[in-house]
Amino acid sequence: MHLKAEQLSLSHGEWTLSADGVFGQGVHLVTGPVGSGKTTLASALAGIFEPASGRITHEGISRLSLSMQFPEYHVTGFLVKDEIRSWHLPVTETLQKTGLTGRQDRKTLTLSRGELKRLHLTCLLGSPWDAVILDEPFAGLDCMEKRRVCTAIEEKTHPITIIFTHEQAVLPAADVIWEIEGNALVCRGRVPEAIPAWKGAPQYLTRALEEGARPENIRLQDATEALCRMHA
Amino acid sequence: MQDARLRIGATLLLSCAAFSSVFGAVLAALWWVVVARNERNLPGRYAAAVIFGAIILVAGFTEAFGGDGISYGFRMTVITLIAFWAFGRGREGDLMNTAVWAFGDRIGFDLGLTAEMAISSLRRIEKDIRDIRNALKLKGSRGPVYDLIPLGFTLTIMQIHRAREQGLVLATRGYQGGGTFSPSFQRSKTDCFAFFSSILIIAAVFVSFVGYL
Amino acid sequence: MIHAQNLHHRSLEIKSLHIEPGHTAIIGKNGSGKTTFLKLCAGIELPHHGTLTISGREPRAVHTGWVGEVPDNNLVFRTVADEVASGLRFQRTPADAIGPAVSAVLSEMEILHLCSRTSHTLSGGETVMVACAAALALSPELLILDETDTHLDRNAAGKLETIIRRRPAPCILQCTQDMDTAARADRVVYFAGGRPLYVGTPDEVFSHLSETEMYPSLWRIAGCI
Repeated sequence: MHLKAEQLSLSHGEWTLSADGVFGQGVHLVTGPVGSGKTTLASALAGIFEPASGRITHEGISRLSLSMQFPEYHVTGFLVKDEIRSWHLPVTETLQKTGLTGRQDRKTLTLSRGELKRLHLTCLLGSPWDAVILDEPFAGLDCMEKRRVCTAIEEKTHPITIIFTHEQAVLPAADVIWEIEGNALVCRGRVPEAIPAWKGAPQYLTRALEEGARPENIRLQDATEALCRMHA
Repeated sequence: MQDARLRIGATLLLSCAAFSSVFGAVLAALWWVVVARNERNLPGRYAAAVIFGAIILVAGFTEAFGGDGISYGFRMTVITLIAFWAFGRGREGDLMNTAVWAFGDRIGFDLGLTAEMAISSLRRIEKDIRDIRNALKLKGSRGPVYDLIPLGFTLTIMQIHRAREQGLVLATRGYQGGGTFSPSFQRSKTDCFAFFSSILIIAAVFVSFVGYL
Repeated sequence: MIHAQNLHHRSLEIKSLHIEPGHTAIIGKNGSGKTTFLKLCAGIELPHHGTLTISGREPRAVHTGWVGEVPDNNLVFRTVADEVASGLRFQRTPADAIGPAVSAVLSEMEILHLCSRTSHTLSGGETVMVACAAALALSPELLILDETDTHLDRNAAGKLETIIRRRPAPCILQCTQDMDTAARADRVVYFAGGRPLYVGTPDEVFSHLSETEMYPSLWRIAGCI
């Protein structure tokens, strides 16, 4: 099972991005500066942005979804309970997971942006996809909610998870690191070998590496554990 | 045509001429063929099919029920073509420049600001519609008719949120009505000819009416 | 500079809060009352009960710059130049002074090259920088950034932070979910359940939060070295 970008070229006017690579099973983290084309690439992989050339193939993937940066776009249910049902999920259990217990009759689009993002991500990650693509899933969430999303991703209920983000503090454990650099998608390799080559790594990882630590993954706790092991 | 005042003036005159009679519409169509030849800004196939399809549909019904549908269809088509030309040539700040030039920096400024904000919103709505349709497709679209309800609802709520936040931005920037603005216009060699010819067209239509009476 | 006394407004409840001039980070979970507090400070909403003053004046009498969370919603006009000039135009600044003032603020933000661009062609990061330039063009006494860094990468957020901190703006209120950014502020206010639970220097406030996710990642690393 994989999602493959073959000689892909994406363009918006004069701007172009090339991508060539295979997203196999596991958690993939794609990072890059704002404006580098993360959203465009995520849309192309999800099949909603037409590439200028090249192609995207899905091997063994029958159900794929994309979480857009703004959760409002995904809403189809007038009330919170209708929205949860539109994802074919149990209302009470999902409300509990989202921290919105008792608010099933609230109008979905009157939730705050943070609450709506929580609801959307809980519903999306709670559905049985073969591959999920998350575009800036942490934007608009507080630190606790970011951690909760990371935990849900780490449960690996979906064979392929691709995360596009510029988040620098709360990240999930990942299997493969990708970076957008100089208008091209570059694979840094599998974690943990990829960590030293990751140019856009969070500062806490860079700091740990400078100290000589070798974190096993990319989370803050991996960096602190590596440092503690070193000093033990 | 670069001068926004002349373009808006020509658009008004030609629209009146085209709407008033088939003769006026023929003259306006000729004007469009000659003057707008390099700046017609015709829409894409899908949008053109929807817009002209709607005109043909209404014209067809009018003709079928005893009205002059063919004349209506022709006149509306010419007006729509003129509108594409006028809208496509619009530059940023045109409406503000023209409104302040015509009505001053109090009412004119407010009118221009409203028009500029409306056009800005249209561009954002285009993107919102595209994104909502894509999101619905990914979630499992139930067909274009069913999708219209969540699309319309989400779009409306998003516009309300956006308007509220933009109102907040305007308030913190000190907007209370009116403002400093110096209108500026560029004019090409052909602008005066194009505008003058639109005056001739409306005059010809007027004369033909007088002759008819 | 900012003084709130017996303030009750929607879910917000502040008995007494005093914020000195300088860079203050406002932190807290989603729905803890941060944005409501910022809207009161901007004079956009009026408190139901109690008083809030900025330098002894009503918030509405104070020049305030506001940049919200959603980049697109901060821009109203079609071109960057018009966006940055808007506040000056509303204040009826003489026409010949507007152009140089716009160029000066765009240069300061290091985005002069965007001057003639249309708003819808800007990237998210560029949109935030333009919105900040438009807010700073009026030399506000109070600059409010409501989770503006959400849509910025580390380099862009760092650049913005450097620029706003070198401005002589007496007071900056920055609501953020990035605890490393908050740790660099002069003061931190931590909101929980509509109340400012901890107020003080980053050291003082984060000493209460060391067991939570709301602790600067670089401090956590430093603690292990």
